[in-house]
Amino acid sequence: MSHALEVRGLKKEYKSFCLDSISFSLEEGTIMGFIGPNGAGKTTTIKAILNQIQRDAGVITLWGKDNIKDEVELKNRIGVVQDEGHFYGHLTLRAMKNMLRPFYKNWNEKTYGDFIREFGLDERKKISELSKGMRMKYSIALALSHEADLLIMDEPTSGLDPLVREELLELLQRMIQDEHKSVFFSTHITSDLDKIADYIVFLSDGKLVLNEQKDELLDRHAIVKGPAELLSETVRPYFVGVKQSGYGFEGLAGDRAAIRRALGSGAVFERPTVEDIMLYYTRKENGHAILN
Amino acid sequence: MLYLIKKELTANVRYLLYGLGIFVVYMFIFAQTNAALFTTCLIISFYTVSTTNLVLDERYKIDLLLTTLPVRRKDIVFSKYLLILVIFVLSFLVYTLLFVVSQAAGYDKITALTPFSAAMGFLAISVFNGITLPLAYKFSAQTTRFVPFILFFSIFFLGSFLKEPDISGVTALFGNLSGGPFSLLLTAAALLVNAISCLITVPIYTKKDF
Repeated sequence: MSHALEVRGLKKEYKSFCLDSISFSLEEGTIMGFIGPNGAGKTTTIKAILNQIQRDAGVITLWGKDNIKDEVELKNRIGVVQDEGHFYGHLTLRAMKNMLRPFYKNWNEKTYGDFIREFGLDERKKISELSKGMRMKYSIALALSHEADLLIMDEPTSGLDPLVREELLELLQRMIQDEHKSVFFSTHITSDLDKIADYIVFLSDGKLVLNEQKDELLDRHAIVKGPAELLSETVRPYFVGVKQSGYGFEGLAGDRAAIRRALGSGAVFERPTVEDIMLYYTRKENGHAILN
Repeated sequence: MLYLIKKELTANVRYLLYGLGIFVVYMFIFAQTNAALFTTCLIISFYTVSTTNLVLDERYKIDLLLTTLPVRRKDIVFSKYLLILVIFVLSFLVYTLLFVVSQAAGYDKITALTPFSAAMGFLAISVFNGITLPLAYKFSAQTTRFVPFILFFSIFFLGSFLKEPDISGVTALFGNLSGGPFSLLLTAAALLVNAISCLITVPIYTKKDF
């Protein structure tokens, strides 16, 4: 499989934050969930991919081409949904679309019209009159109307109600039926990723914590619950993090097979969600691996 | 590039019309004085349009949208400079139309547009834009909002005092050039101001983090 996106050794330093040598790649025809707590560096990474910020080091390629040298050609193949739609509020949806349409070689008016109807958007409305959710839908309609091969989405579901979120996730799954299309999906609503992501990249405090296939990641880890006396000093190193209470403990183990062998049948082992993994690793990164 | 200019016009159409409206109103107000009518009105309308344009772009964080589009950053900057030409041409057409109409109606206070007036107007808005754009891109339009204000009043009052008969005195400094060549000199100066300003703004904008 070839890569739609490849990021190698990406560095960006600000006064109070540093994106520290991030590397990952997104295969064509897959959905990558890009997760991490607020301030982890997700938006900074996306901005670097889109050449909206100057990186201090690293290489970013899209379909093997440099994201700066071949910027115009590559951006014709990218659809972007930002956390806030940056549109002129005093314009109508139609006027804004007419403004953006000519920039793209492959604009498909029919596709756009279909999305506008599907999302229940009124093109005569001013953008400033749209709710956050409707604005996000409009942003998605624009991003999907120029036959983009890569969709980059920064927190696209945060303002959407559950029904529309579900519709969007179905839409993304439909989109990647075409094996040349890929989705890079930054979010902190990790339940969305449980449903659709093929890969998970997890950032925390500017560092890459996890980068692997979602199913492998969930299979490898385990949520372990058991009585407090099971949590001896010898088993603690198996855990990414542990929460203790008067009744017992609950923790995330990084190696399901190993922790099963260590604890035997005295504990309960469950498959974690992406959210469980993100929470435990974030706490570990912040130095709070063990909570009482 | 054409699409970027179209984008500027679409986004600012209301304010362009507003600016041209101001242009017309001030034409009649300043027609009673002996000021360089076209130059004065152009400065007033350009101030309105250009400052609104920068403020709107900043309010809606339009650069974050533009930098996702398949356009080069330097073309985004060029389009801002080309907007001057568009506003100039529109003002020129409106002025000429009103002059013809007013003459036909027997109102003779609106004087014919001279090459000097046109060139002076173009130079004035070029200086205005040439200073405000690099500063706005470097430090944000909000931070530097006092700059267009100061420039507006400086250029506006200077423009008001530049009366048509004064050219002979000014042209004498340039070896008794007639009005035509002197106007060309002013136009060349305006283009030079735009070119220098653009050379400063392009690297600021292309290296900017959004």
